[in-house]
Amino acid sequence: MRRIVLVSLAILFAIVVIVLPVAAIFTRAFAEGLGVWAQAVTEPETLAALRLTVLTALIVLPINIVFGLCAAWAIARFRFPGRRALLVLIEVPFAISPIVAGLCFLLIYGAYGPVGGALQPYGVQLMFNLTGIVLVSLFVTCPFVMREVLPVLAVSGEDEERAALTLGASGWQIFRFVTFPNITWALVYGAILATARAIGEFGAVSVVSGAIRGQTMTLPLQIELLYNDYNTTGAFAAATVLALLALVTLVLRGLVSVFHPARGAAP
Amino acid sequence: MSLEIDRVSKSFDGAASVLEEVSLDVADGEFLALLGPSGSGKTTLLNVISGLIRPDAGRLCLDGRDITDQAAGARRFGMVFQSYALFRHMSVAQNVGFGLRVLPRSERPSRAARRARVAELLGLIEMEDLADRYPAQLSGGQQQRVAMARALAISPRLLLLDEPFSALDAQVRRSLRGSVRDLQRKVGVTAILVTHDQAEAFEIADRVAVMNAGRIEQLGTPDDLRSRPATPFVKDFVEQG
Amino acid sequence: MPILQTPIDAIRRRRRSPLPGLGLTLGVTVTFVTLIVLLPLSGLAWQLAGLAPSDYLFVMTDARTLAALRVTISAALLATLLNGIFGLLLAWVLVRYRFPGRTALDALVDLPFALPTSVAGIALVALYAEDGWIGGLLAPLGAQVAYTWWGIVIAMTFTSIPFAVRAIQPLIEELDPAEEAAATTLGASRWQTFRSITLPQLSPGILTGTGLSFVRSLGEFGAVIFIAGNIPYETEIASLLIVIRLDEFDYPAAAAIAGTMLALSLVVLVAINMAQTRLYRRLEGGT
Repeated sequence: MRRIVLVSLAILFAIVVIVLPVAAIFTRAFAEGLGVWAQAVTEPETLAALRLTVLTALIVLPINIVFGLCAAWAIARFRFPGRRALLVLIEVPFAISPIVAGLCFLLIYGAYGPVGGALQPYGVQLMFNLTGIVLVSLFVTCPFVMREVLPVLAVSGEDEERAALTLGASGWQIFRFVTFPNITWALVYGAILATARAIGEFGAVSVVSGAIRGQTMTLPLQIELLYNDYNTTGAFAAATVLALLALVTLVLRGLVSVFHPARGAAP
Repeated sequence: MSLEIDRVSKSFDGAASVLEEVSLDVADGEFLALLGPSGSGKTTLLNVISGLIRPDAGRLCLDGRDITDQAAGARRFGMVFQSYALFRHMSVAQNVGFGLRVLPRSERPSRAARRARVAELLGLIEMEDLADRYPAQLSGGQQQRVAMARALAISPRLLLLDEPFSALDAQVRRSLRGSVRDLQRKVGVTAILVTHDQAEAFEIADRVAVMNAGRIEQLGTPDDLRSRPATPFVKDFVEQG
Repeated sequence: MPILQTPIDAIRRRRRSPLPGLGLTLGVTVTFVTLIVLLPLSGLAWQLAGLAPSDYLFVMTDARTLAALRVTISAALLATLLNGIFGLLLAWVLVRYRFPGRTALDALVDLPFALPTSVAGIALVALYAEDGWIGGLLAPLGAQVAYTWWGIVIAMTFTSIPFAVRAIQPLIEELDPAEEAAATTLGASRWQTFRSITLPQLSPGILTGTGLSFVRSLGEFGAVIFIAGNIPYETEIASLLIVIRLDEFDYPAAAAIAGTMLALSLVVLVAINMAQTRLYRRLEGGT
């Protein structure tokens, strides 16, 4: 009896709080038929926003992977002064709210900030364009890869790498043949999380994007713009694209976690 | 190959030294054991020889050539780790062939030649039929033999063994001692074994260096050590075992 | 003797690694962290440093600022309370019971993490507006959620529920059923067992979960602004006020509010951390 009550309560909560909102997006988006939805999604501005979002993710992802791997390797394999401080700094973006993060970037890299101001005479502008969007996206996503890879590296220890070293392997060969196979799934897992976040980030990007229609609007920003324009059909159509991406992310995460030693069963 | 260790010292972060001016000669084809309690510096000495740790002072010479500044990877010393450190995601054959696979392109044998060499080594350790197994599917004794074969695959100039039997149960340990010694003779490689087990050192090694507190207390054949211990420490340590 | 042992342990740990790549990887890491994390943070610090204490107080005691802080903090507190209760319920059900759809429920919990916040925002509006499924049900009763303080609470609850569930779940998995059985044999009722045996052991997870949930709620922007109505003094959250000040080029005011919010988050995070250490020390003994 108790079991039934608790399970029903939990399911009810999940449906009302989590499922219904997502269902509402799709219902609203398709309320006027598939044709209207397709037309709304292929609006030039919406397509431009989608393109910018994808472009941002494509730039952010490789940088993130390289950084995450470097940071995890340095922190897991070496002892150096400031190691703990470095670890805290990398995790800081998780503790900072999106708007405050965006503001921080504006204050340093904006035209009135010390760095942005110094670069302005050379015609270099960092904020209110793609560069700004990429920079804040890097900020909000920077802990993900490192966070997944570091524990796996720490647990696997460095015996295998030392063995490879004595067998004559170069640094790159050690990474490629010995380290990488052990962290592949952790890396993929972190990269999925980072990509999802880069695609969906709203607050931080909204501060630095400049909100130029058709130019510096990412898809999450475009949703707000359309909504404020009373173009609800367009807004909900755009939202379905992102919601679908989120669902794909969840499925991918679930699949990958099966192979991720720290997240699921061992292969 | 003969190895000459000349007044090697090592301390970590300025604390009390772990090795104090250790000097030692190992003859070509000899099997030498470094015997001592934990903390005596024997593992550090082995790591200095392998190149994994840089000494603060002193020199290492291999056949008369100074190798002190040579990187671990360039020394071509086969090493068997206490944990074996087998590559978990590689099969037995891939583990054994790793040292050949990572050779620079100009020196790397062809795929077929590498395969033949791996087969030969697996024959030597009598594990031909387990070539496609993964380390996790092997017994402790089998893992130890794979680690040996992997170290021998690079035709090492020196074979270094760090407590290679400590993870095995007593029976397997005894039977493997003999086979390690046979393998070393067959290949003709100079070998250095680190152990805290007096019986093990005496059974395998031609000569034994008894270490204590970063110094070599006595160097001699097992018979020498038994009959003429040079210090009370050696006498105690030998009698204990 | 321990005096001798400690330094040797420390030495072992600090032994220089023979592995290659320290220069390259640390170089990349430090460069990245400096440009992407350290410099932006110092940007905020720099702006705040240029602010006289009287200016700071002027911004922070402004009626609109105070109202925004009150709205944000009170909504975040209620959302956190809801998340504490329902997070515990969901985590408990997911770990303790096997029922059809359990895996789906487990995956659903992560949906708010995966869903972009602006999508969440627009979804909640669709649901709670007068023409929405739930809003339509509430309207005849005279209750309104969308464009009110309650809407803010709903949005905050939605975006931060995963924190609570995921922080509590592992602790329930680690509970020793024998302890509960022991309590039962000693005559404790189910509720007594839960309250005096189970709950204390879950407290570190509940603390972390609600703490993270609170911090997330304080800073939540995307999901909230759609449903909040954003009426100054009534349903305007602190993050939005920062954006408004920025749009007015009032950088000092924006920095003052942002700095305050950041400080509040950090205080909460540090407090959780310290309380956690103490709780674990009590549960596991030793230092």
